[in-house]
Amino acid sequence: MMLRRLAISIIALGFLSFFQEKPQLLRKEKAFDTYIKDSIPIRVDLIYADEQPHQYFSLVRTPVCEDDLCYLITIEIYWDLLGNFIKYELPPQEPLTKFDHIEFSEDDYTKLNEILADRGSLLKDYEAKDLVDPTTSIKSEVEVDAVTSATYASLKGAVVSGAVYSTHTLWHIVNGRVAQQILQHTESLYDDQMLTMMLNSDHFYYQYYALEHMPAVVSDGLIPGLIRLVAEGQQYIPYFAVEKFPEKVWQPGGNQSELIALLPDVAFEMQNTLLARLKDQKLNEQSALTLISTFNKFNDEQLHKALTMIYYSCDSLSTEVLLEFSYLLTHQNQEISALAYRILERRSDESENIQKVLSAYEN
Amino acid sequence: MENESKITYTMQKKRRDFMKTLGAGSGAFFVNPTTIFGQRPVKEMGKIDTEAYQKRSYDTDVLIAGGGMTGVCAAIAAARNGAKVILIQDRSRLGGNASSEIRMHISGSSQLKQVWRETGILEELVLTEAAENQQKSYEMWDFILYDKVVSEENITLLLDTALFDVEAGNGKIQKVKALCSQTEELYEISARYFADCTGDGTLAAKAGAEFMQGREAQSQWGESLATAEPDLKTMGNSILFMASPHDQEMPYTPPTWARKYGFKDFVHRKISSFEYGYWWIELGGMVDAVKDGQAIRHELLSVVYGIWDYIKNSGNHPDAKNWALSWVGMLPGKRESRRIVGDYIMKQDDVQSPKLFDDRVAYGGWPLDDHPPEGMDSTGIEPYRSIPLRGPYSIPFRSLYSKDFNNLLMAGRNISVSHVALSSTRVMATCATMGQAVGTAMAYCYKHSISPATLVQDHIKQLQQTLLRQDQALLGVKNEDEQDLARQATVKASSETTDGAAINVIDGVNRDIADGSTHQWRAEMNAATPWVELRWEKPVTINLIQITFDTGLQRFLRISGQAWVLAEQERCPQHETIANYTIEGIINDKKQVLHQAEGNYLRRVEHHFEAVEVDAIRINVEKTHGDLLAKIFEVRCYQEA
Repeated sequence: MMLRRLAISIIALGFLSFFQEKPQLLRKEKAFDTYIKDSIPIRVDLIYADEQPHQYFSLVRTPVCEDDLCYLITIEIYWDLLGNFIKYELPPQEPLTKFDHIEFSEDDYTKLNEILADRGSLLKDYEAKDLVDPTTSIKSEVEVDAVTSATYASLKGAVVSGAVYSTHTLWHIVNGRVAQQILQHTESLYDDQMLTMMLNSDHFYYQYYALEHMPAVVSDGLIPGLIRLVAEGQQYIPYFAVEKFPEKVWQPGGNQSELIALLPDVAFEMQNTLLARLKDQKLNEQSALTLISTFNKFNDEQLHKALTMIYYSCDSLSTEVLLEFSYLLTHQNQEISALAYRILERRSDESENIQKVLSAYEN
Repeated sequence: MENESKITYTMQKKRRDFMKTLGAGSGAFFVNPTTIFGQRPVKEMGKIDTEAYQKRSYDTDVLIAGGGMTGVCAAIAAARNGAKVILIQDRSRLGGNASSEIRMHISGSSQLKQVWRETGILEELVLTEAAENQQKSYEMWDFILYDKVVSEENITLLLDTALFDVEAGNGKIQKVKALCSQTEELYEISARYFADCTGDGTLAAKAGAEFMQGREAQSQWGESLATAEPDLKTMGNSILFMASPHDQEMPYTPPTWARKYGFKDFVHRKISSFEYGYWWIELGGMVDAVKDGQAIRHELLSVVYGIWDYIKNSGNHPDAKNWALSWVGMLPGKRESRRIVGDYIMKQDDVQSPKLFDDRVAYGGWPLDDHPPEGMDSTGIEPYRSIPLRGPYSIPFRSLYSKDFNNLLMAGRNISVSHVALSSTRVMATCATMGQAVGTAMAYCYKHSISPATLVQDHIKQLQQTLLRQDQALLGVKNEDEQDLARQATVKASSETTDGAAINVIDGVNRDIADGSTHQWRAEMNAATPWVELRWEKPVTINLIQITFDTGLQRFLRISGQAWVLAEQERCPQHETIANYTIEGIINDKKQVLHQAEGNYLRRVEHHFEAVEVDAIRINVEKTHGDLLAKIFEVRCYQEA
């Protein structure tokens, strides 16, 4: 395992942070002092990257006790600005060990990382002693006298095997009161700059936090960031972002065309969401053309909705635009072909080309 | 109201006939119950009966209020143990949350994914349902419950009968008053013992028994899962729906008052299939789950129809276009309301870090599964937080009777538990086992004229042995029944597998308890008819043999509206179970058939016959429901008066 210590308070190096891959000027300063396990003092630092709050850090020395036997763990812990665990690092000479003093394997370290990152772990509501079955025992393969109780089969996924008490202790340090205090500390620093940083980040939790803390009146400067989240956001982020759009975004004079241009690439449910939100809007020439160019990405129901939008705007669209979907006259779905016919027929007096298309179809 | 008739229950009267001929419960019937089987009682039609809501009085040993899974099991248990029982249920159907009116799963310890499906009366009910309701009809499940209840001669079932008043004093309940609008009757039912299986703790609350409501603070009992501050919020109520696919598109227009939903409302709530609604359609935890029930019902319906509108019309579920609603519940299923205070209050630690209570009479195994009170009013919140358990936990009898009234017991979700503990104990399979415990205990108390508290103090071992014999779901109790003659026998078999010694049928354990032993006799079915034999040093006289078979307790087995839940079950007799067998008595090397069984699908069977003296008995296994091994957990033999 590659071990690294962050020992100086100002570092300028090609440090790859967890979500920004560019060299940054890092500096850290004390954020607050607090306690773990009610009595062990620790200091939590806020690391700034390019003078912006970046992540939190603490060097923790804690005893881990199993019955009367205690040993010391030294560990560096990193949290994001919302108190979510990012990673841990260990001093080179102080690896983590199991009940029989065997060092953690690579898999154990990976598993520990996963466990510490799970804020909803059942460790939150289990005491360590309740995770192990006192009526059973496992013996060390290497140390003759080393014996400990086995973890209950139904709970063993929640801990690193052979290191129940270490896992439990570390989880509560990482996800306990300190995490809450970090969030409170960040909130005391929260301003428009941090909102913009979080909105524009690629970090799911930051994006979600920014959307949750969006001002009631969204300024124009935030709109590109919101549209980016609709296009690129993970899971449900796009749907929360869409809710934050001011009404003008949907209008022809706003970002209508830009949103329609997203249709081919967004998820199916987001296509439906966008179509539903756009259905009462008039389309301008540009928007209509963009929409028609995405028709091949739609199922019949979506196509019918999109064509209905064209229908309500057709009086103000050029006949050239309308001819773009004349191929729909032969669509196998009669509702769609009939609607296409209805739109073209409405403007047939104005266009010989439309008349030709309709007459060819009728014949 | 003066036309009051006094009905005194007699055991001699055939209750089944009574039920078949009860019809509309006419006054004429009560005055003159003599009828010919299958014929309605003749009523004089000479003049108009001008009395609406006539008063009827009953007197019984045991009154059970509430005919959900808990009350059904309590009534059957009390009746089978010799008590005369009146079971009142405020609906036309039995089963409560599990009935066709609500259709919630009977969840329980199967959730541990181990070996702990509940046994006892509940197991008898679900095995019967799986075998006899292979069409998976919810209404037929209701009927199976009805059939089981009315087939008990000691039970008088009063359906559509709602309790509205209680007379109590000097630490005792005297009588309850109930109303049946269908028959325009006002019942006054006095009893020696009362069981509150209402779910809402209505009987206890009306009597003035102390109860808890809402959520206790962490500081009260040191429960980490409790809230920081106490409040009156609870888990909510739910309404389910069912839907089915058709050969054509099925358009849907929601009512104007249906709620509107978008994709992000389902960030924590997955619409994974359409045939069966979602437990997370939940509301009512922020108000009074009982007293605000009318409004909660309407709001739940607005959620159900709003979600169906989303499924049908958002465009996000194109595969739902041929689907249509086939059933929507009108009766919300409740998770939580009152919790009556007993001599012991179960807490988080009792569930999460369980000990074997000395007075254990049932067990649970559902996770600590609390739901936020906001429910569908706040779709941004996860609809539950579930803390898995390491194994089953025992439930003490002291949590199943009121500390204030010495003839008031309770079972179901209204028992003496903290809010946090309730998040586990509330599920129906667990409640049903409490029902069996309480029903059995009431019959025991009645027989010995003792209070529940005295039972705990002086008789708990006897109660546990009775429960175990009747296959109650119990932890850490072995058969020590001195009346069981099988325990004195030597056992041999035609053959046995290495992990299925014949002696296991009298090892005192009647199920897999995940301790490495099968606790059952196992023999290959491919040879000649395998048999197991119990032989005594001196001849014994017996008139009753009880056998416990294997029914695959490691699997889930419950009716469900959900296709994948059913697909994982054996919706028929369980393949491990012995179907055909013959029991022979052997005296002086001569064999006599004592019982012959065909098509058995039950776990526990009891065969009564004329008393006979035997040197040995032999059980010949002729057929299983598919298993290649013959499997028997336990054999008991008795001579009963």
